[in-house]
Formats: sequence, structure tokens, C-alpha cells
Amino acid sequence: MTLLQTRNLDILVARRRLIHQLELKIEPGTSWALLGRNGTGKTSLLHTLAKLLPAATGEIYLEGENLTTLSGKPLARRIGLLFQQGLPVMPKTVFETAMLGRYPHHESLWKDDPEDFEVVENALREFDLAHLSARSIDTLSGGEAQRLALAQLVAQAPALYLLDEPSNHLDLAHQLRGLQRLKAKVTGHRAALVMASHDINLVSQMCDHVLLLMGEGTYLAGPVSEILQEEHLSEAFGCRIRRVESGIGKAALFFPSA
Amino acid sequence: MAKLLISKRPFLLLLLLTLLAIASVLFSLLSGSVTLSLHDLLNAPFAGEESLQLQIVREIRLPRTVAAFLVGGLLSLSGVIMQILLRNPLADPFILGVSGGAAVGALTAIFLGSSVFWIYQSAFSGALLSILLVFTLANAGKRWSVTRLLLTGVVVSAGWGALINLLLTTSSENTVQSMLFWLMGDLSQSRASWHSFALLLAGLGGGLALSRALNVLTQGDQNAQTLGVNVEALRITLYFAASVLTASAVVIAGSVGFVGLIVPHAIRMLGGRDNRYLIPGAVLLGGSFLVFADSLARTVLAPQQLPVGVMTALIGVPSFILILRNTATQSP
Repeated sequence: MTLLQTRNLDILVARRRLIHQLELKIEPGTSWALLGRNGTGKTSLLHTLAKLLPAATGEIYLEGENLTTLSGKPLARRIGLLFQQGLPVMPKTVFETAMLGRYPHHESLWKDDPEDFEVVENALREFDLAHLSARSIDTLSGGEAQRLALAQLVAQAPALYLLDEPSNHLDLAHQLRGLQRLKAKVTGHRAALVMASHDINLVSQMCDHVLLLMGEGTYLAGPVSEILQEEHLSEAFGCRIRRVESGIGKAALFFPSA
Repeated sequence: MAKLLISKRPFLLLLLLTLLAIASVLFSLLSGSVTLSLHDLLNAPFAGEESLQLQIVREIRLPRTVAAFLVGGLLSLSGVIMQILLRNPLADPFILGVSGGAAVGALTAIFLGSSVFWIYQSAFSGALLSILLVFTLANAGKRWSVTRLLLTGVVVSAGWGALINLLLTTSSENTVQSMLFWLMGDLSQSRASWHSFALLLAGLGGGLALSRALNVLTQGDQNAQTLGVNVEALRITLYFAASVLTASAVVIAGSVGFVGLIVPHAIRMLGGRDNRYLIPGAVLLGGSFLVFADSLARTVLAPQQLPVGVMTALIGVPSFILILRNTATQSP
């Protein structure tokens, strides 16, 4: 069954039509890249899919159920969102912060579930944060804080991972490993991920599908090989973008050229 | 390891705070111009006939001690909620103008020479008016935001402040004296009522039930929403809960400063950042703190009684600095 489907979706922000008549079908096991110029509506689309913003018109279906009928903890168990600006700093430890991701799974108002501890410890280990468990989050570096936000999302364990620039602040090793960890949650599972990014190279390695926002509501959607073409990217970003084969496997390299 | 670190320490903290609460109540009952031994006090329920000393303790000190504990608990709980609602460590129970409204009500009644009963009623009406005024103004038209609520509260507070100054400058010297005691926070006229006790219990119970949602809310509205918290409903609940808790404390004892600001921070610094422990911890410490402060306020310069608000600041400032220093050196 299709994990997420949009029908005739329009999104308006400050009276500007960012998304127009979007028809998107996200199947389980797929990884989608969300590309586009600044201000084309990447974040607004992610927030609309997470039900933080209302859609102007159209419907969103999660496994066949209309998104408007879902809310609260049940929705949070199925859709999770990594915010672009990371987690706000409040006096907490790394472990306590990651544990907040388990909120939609808590059954008791008060009692701790041993399973939650296990999930959180695993999530912290996956993002190289286990040794920082007891650290206060205001002592973390930018990259560590971003990994913590990712660990919290993994602890939340949704079916649909919505990621707003997940590679922000991450060094190259963590970009690759972190996103591979996320991808492992998706491929072969009844889950999917959508990541907004400006790193076309990373996206071409990590994702199998692309939604390319061209501005003024127009878009292209499809498999990576179809969308990540010089002419589409050059048009979308308003500058000439070259594509060369890396010579390593099927990977291609993209770079802007004058 | 992490499991042990997190689950055991807060329990110990709550146990110690419970002992502190008991100690504070005993200290308060035993201190004063009439002396009584701990032995006599503890045997009081079993003594056949009541001595004069015991009568004084039961009729005068006990109600005042209970009132102090309640007010301290109410203000600390309200402080915890306000700091989360406004996501601001400087927030205290009075920041949104509840105490200002209550003060204008109370001072107007004092100005008119009303009885204690009417001062109480008038203070409560003033608080209620302020709560509804701030809520309506903050929610009118535009989308609600933390900044908008905070600004509305601060502006309404400033308005109440102007009215308070007006009342103070136009009153006679005698009335100004009792007005000042009311403004600084004073427990000498205080009697705890059953409904404020019920309210504290309800606040504690409700707070515990919502404590996990409150933990998530410290991450910000949007993050909390995507984790499954109904932010809109929670925010309204928190605003009214904190306001009513503050109002019921303020009508008992006036604007006792400092308790609601520092007690939540003290508990957090002692390791109770999780709201499941912070909420009961703050009630226990806030109650104990005000009981101690009031015992000192009525004994240090006896027979002269100081307003308890002066005492809370005198004890609170140095002990808060001490906690701040100690935790700063320990933090990893």
C-alpha cells in the first residue's frame, strides 16, 4: 500500500502559491529527495505533510487514511519531522533529549518502560552519541546537536521520516553514515523518507526518487536518473549545473559552472 | 548505566525534600515567643488535656504554617508552569499580571477600609479580571505566540503597576503601611482555605499527569506538535492553571516574591529537570522554603514581624547563588 499520497495539493504561504496541484505517491521502502531553490516551498511542504501547516486545497493520505482524521500520539508514531533549525537548547542531557522522541510511544503517564531505554540507547549509539549520554546539550557542537536531533527522530521510529536538511553541520563521515543509518530504517521496511537538501551529490547517492521544485508551484517528480539531469537542474536553480560521471560505480557528480 | 543515573537520583531527591518539608513544619511550630519542646509537640495528640502552649500552637502557629506551605507550593508550581509556557527562565508566577490585578483589587478594598473578607474577595476578582484580560488581548485576531503572550502580560502588569502607585500616593499613612505589607507578601493575616488546598492537590495531580507532555513542550511548539502533543490545548490549560494557582496564592498572602522564580531552578539544578520530578519537587521545596522564611520573618526581630517577602529574598538570593556555583563546577 502506498505510504503517502497527495492529491491536487496546493500550499499557500503569505499569499504566494508555493505548491500547485502536487500529485505525489511515496511507496514504502523509497527515499525521496526534495530539491529546489531557496523559498520554493521545501520546508512548507514538509510541514504540511507533517500536519503543522494546513493545505490550501487538496488532500493528503497516509496509508489510505486522510491526514485530517489523524492527530496526536497516533500520528506521531507514523510521521516524524527533523526541523531545519535543530533542537532548541533547554537545560537537559543528551539522553533526556533523545528520550523525548519516545513520547508518542509512552503508555504510562509516569512509569518508565525498559524498552524505551533500549531504543534510545541504540539510537544514540547509531549516531555516535552514546559516550555523550550524560552531557548537557548546551555543551554540544553544532554537528553533535544535529546528530542528537536525528537520534531523537530515530527513537520516535515513525513510518515516514521527513527531514529538513538533515546533513546540516555534519562532517562528511557523519553525513554519509548518518544518512545510511536512516536509509536502513526505510529500505526493506514499511517506511519511507523525504529529505530536503541542497547537496545534490549526497542526494544522488542516498535517494532513489526526486521531487524537484521549479518555483511558482511547478515541479518534476520521478526516479533519480530521470530528474537529476543537467537541463532540469539548471532550470530549477537558475544557473548552469554540470553532471559528470565519477567513474566510481554509477555515482555522478554535480557542480555549478559559470 | 544511564538507566540507573536517571531513575534513582530523582527519587532520592524527592525523599530528601519530603524530609525537609516535615522538618520545616516542625521548626515553624516550635519557633516563636512561646517555647515548646519537640517531645511535647509530638505527644500532643495523645495528651489528655491541652496546655496553653499547645493551644497557641494549634490556634495560631499551625494555620499560619499550613498557609505558608500552601502558598509556597502554589507559587512554585505556578513558576514551573510559567517557565515552560513562556519558555523563559526568568518567568515567575507574577509575570503575566495576575498579582498586579490582585494587588489593585486588594489595595482598592484597603483604600475603602473594607474588612479582611472583602480584601480577599476583591483581590480574587482583580486577579480573575487580569487573567481574562491578558488571555483575550493575547489571543485577539493574530496568531498566538509566546512573545505575544509575554508582551501582553508585561504591558498589562505595567498598567496595574501604575494603578498601584496611584492608590499608594493618594492613601493616608496608616493605610499605606498595610498596603505595603500586602504588596511585599505577608502571612500574618493568612488562613489557608480548603479550596486552596484542593487547588494545590489538583494542580499537582494535573501537573503530574501532563509532566511528560511538558517535557516535550520545552523543545518548542512545533517539535512538541510533531511528537504528538496537542500544543494548542495544552497551552491554554497551562495558562489558566498557572494563573489560577497564582491567584489563589496571592489572595492568601499577597505577592510573595522570589519563591516561584528560584524554587523551580533550584530543583532543576539539583537534578530534577524531568517534570515528573520537578513538579512534586517544586511543591515540596517551595512549601518548605516559605515555611522556613515565615518562621524567621516572625522571630528574628520579635516582637516585630517582617513581611515574609523580605525574608524570601534575603534567604533566597544567597542560597540560589550557592546552588548556582556548586552545580556550575560539577556539570560535565
